[in-house]
Amino acid sequence: MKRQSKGDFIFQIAVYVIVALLCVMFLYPLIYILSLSLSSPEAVYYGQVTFLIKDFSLEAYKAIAGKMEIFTGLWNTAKMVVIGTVLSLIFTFGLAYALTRKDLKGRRVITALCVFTMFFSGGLIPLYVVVQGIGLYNSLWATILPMSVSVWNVIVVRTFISSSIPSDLEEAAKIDGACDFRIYISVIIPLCKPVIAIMILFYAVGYWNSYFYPLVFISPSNTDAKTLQLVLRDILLSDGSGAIGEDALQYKMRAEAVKYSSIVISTLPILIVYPFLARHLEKGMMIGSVKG
Amino acid sequence: MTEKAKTAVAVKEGGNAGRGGSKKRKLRAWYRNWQLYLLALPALAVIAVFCYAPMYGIIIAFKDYNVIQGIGGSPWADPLYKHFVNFVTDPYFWDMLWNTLRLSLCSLLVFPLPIIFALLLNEIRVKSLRTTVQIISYAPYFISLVVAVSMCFTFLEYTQDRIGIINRIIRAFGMEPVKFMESAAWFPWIYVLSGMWQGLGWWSITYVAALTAIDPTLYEAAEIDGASRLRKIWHINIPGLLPIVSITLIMNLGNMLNVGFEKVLLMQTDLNYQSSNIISTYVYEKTLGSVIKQYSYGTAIGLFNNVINLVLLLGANFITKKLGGETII
Amino acid sequence: MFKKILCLCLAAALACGAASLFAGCGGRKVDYDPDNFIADPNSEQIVKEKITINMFTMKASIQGQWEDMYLFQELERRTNIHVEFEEVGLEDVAQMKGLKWEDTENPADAFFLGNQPYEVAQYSQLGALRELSGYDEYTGNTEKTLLELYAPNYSHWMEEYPEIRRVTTQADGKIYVFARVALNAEGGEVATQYINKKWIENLNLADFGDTYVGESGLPETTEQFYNTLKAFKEYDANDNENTSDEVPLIASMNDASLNFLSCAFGFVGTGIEIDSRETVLDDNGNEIPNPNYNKIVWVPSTQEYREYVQYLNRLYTEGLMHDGLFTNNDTNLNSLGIQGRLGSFTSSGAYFVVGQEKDDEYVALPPLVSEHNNTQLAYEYAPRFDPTALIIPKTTPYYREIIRWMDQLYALENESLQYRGEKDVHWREVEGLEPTYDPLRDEYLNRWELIVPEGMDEIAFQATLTYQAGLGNAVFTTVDYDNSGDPYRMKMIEERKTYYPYLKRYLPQLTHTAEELEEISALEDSVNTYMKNNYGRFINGEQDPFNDDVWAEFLKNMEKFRYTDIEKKYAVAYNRAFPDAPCANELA
Repeated sequence: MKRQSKGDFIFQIAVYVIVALLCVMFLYPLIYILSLSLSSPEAVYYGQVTFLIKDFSLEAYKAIAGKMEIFTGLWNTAKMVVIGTVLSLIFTFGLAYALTRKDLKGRRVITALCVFTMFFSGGLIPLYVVVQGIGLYNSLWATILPMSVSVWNVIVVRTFISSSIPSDLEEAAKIDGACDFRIYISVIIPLCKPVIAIMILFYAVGYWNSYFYPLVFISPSNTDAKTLQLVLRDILLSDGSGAIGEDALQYKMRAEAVKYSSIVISTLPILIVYPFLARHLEKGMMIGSVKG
Repeated sequence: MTEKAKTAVAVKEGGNAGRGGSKKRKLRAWYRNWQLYLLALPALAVIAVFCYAPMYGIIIAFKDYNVIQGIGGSPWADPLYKHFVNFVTDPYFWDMLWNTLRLSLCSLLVFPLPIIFALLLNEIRVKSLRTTVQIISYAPYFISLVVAVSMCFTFLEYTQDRIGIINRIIRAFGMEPVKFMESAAWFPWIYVLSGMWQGLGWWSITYVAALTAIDPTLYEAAEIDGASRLRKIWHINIPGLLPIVSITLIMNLGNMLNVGFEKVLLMQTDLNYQSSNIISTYVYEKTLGSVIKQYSYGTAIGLFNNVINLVLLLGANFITKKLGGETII
Repeated sequence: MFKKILCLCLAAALACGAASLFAGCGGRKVDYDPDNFIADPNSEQIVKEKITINMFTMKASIQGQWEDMYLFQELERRTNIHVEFEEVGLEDVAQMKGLKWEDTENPADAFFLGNQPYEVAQYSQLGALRELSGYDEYTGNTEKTLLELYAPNYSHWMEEYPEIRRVTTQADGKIYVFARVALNAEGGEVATQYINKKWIENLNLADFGDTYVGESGLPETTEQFYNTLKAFKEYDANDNENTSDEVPLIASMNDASLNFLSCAFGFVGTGIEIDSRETVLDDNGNEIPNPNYNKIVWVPSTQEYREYVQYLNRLYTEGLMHDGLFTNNDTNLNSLGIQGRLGSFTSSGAYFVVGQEKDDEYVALPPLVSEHNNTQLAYEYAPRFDPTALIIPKTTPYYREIIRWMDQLYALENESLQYRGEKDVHWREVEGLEPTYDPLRDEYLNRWELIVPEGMDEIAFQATLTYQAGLGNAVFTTVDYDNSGDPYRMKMIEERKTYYPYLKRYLPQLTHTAEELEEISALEDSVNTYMKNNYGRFINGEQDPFNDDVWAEFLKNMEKFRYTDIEKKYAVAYNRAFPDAPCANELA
């Protein structure tokens, strides 16, 4: 490495200090929640936890075992994520590939129609009326289908295909007599692996965290169809239910502790999976940043 | 066949191809690609049903919609623009417009933060350290909205017998704790900063990617000139980021009034309503969140909102074009 | 380029829209046999061959399938009608009901419980409801209405209590809805304001003349209440050698716990209300006739409201009221209660909050009076006659059957079924406790208890018997069924009676047209939201309610939200309902 000037050295130090502070800022709330969930309900209730675990206890996790709705929510969300992501991939790549083909008639019009939806929409009520009209209200599909195609992602994939897969390959396949399906399946898709990984990440995270569609399209009392986020809202942001008598305080303490264990339980799956996909992120974003 | 006859036939065929045949060929071009259309069909169907069909539903805004008679059967509003007038003369109109804009403007104020963060990341020379920091910084993005908002409530809590961590810190510094969630003045900042906590790392990815794409010879040249690192950032990195920054900015401007209602609704309390009452929550409040659902009114407000957005977007795009920056259309 | 896109988009939009939207009105084909119906009101059986009726309803979370409830099985046995219930949770009845109306393939034959005035008005105006005051189309009999023919029990109560007819008659003069009838209702659902009597005794507050308490030994005016709370705060009221752990008053903006205080200033709520006080006090404390008597007012625009808000502001800013006012949930209430730190709070029973041990420390505080108001008032939650019980869509051919079925519920002898099932099977009388007199039946009713199976709690057991459990009042009630022997419960009911002489609702039940309701609701929603958000800021001192300019600004802004129009609209409906005794509002 080259020798550094004094100014550069100070600069370097400053960079590390700021970045270290930022890391604390990112991590502190997460670790705090984790500590809360592993501390004794009394300590949590009386606000004795500041950072690290106080009076280690699994009480909060034991209490959550009795909350069936969390598991129903997890199950619904899992279904939504898996089905949704698979559908989204099929939809997105199909459209994106078709749009890369210069010989596709009406390509410009289709692109324009798709892009237009990024900037203009009918709004909440018309969407609601449509979803009701086609009988999707209160079903899992109402939470999946409306968000199954993200035009932005289509553009990212399209750009990736047209910029990093040489068209010679397609031409060669065509000359060999391969039909469009064959080219798509055996030439394009295998070469799309990095962008597939990113799309899985984007869509899966989108579905996992989606709140809007379940809120609007799943009725509040339909406990069987509630997704994790709706269950979490009930647990985290609504008033405690009416326990009475001497047990009340114990009950309330547990309810408070359950909040944190349910946050941990609901966030853990995605936090575990994501570092494996994270290394693809940067590359994916770079593709996305190329003008569509 | 003589040479002449051959030519004649050829000419004839050519003539055919030029007239009736061209239609056929066009049809054939459509037909030849049927597999491609099939590939695109599912996605197009979704877009048609969930983006375009609701656009048809916009006529609800011009009707007095009721559930029993449906879109077709409900009577037209009298006058047609009734609901729009109602909205513009709604006493909350200016408040809402301003609140919505304020949230967007606050978001714009912190808009450079991810850029700065990306520049910082770029200055970390140790590759593994940099990757670690990046992975840590993305983590909050994966926290869901509901959880993030409940964390806000927990951390910012302050009543006489319960005090959240932030207020404990404030008190430790000898200052007066604040009832953050009951304060209209604090609301936009809590909204924006909690969003920034979640998104800082994530939003910086684009810029980090753009920085890695900068031509390394530029740095070498700067090195030879003996430029300091700050100067390099100023003269190489920032100009390198400009195109992507301008696109993002246009997109942001075009979405000025598109502040989603979910998070605001979750954060809304009676006491911060004054600044948390925005157009989209108002629509929700008047329609799905109400006993007597004013569908037509809600649709009209939504339409108004979308049209203004479109105008803002086109305006921003136009100005950037004039200034010679990157544009989206 | 862009223009082109736009055109294309619109074209596409219209095409797609036309293709994918839809809900045409399909008719339903049903083989209906009018002769299957037994018209004779003396016959318990309603149909010869068993029929199935689809009923939409709302249910409480503790309830299971309604079809399994003893009450409905018993009714099926008697009437030969099988009712298939479609139960929807309370939170989203409104939404699901809308969907049910659109459902043409499997429409509901009736909507049971929770039919909001707006729904009744709107659907009746669209001609979608069966008119109960109309005629039987199968026989062509135009002498007697459907109600007269097939609902003898209900008609009887309607004659006895003309109010029932009044509250169910729509603006067009016709009846489409059954009312929930509660003849016992002296406000079954009253929230009691509890005060810690032991603390008052600990501090010997009675020894200071009328500074803290009146002759009753409890605070009687708002000033006394204020002083008492102040004493709770300043001294060691709970005798634990800590003068600062007492929470004198706890309340929440999210429920009705502030109504007790607003009553002290002359209005039971903070919305639209009719001023029913005949007298008020002038600045010197002299009783004078109320200039606004019988006037419908938007309460926040009144001087009384200002005094009330000023009072709350004092309580809050001086720390007499728990500062979680805006965020409180029962977590706080309970934990403070159990710890013995509460001076005064609102609940149906004190033991719910403080536990059984400390239950006897707390007593109900009778309504207070204030500087300008000398009328004691208490807020009544549920009206006696609530026009929400049942509506019948015009599409069903089974309206006669449904009316007869429904009428069963209004029979005096079936009332008890709706609360506790069968005697000696599901409940038994309890000996040795004082019986209560029922004037309607002219007999003494013994106290009773449910025969709850091992390992089941009472309410869950009740929920297997009847729909009433968890939902509150049944469709028809004449006596108080809170009659069991549990001493804490008995005390709770006894305390509640403190408020019976003073009960008042905002307004009598009025009926409006759908348009009126839409306008009222739109206006009321907005001004209410505005009021609520300022209400809080007046209380916590962010705005100063003592400052005249601030107050004038508040009034001016509310005027922009056209509260005077709301007053007028209510006044019109009021005068329509009571043409002989119109309200005092001036209607141009």
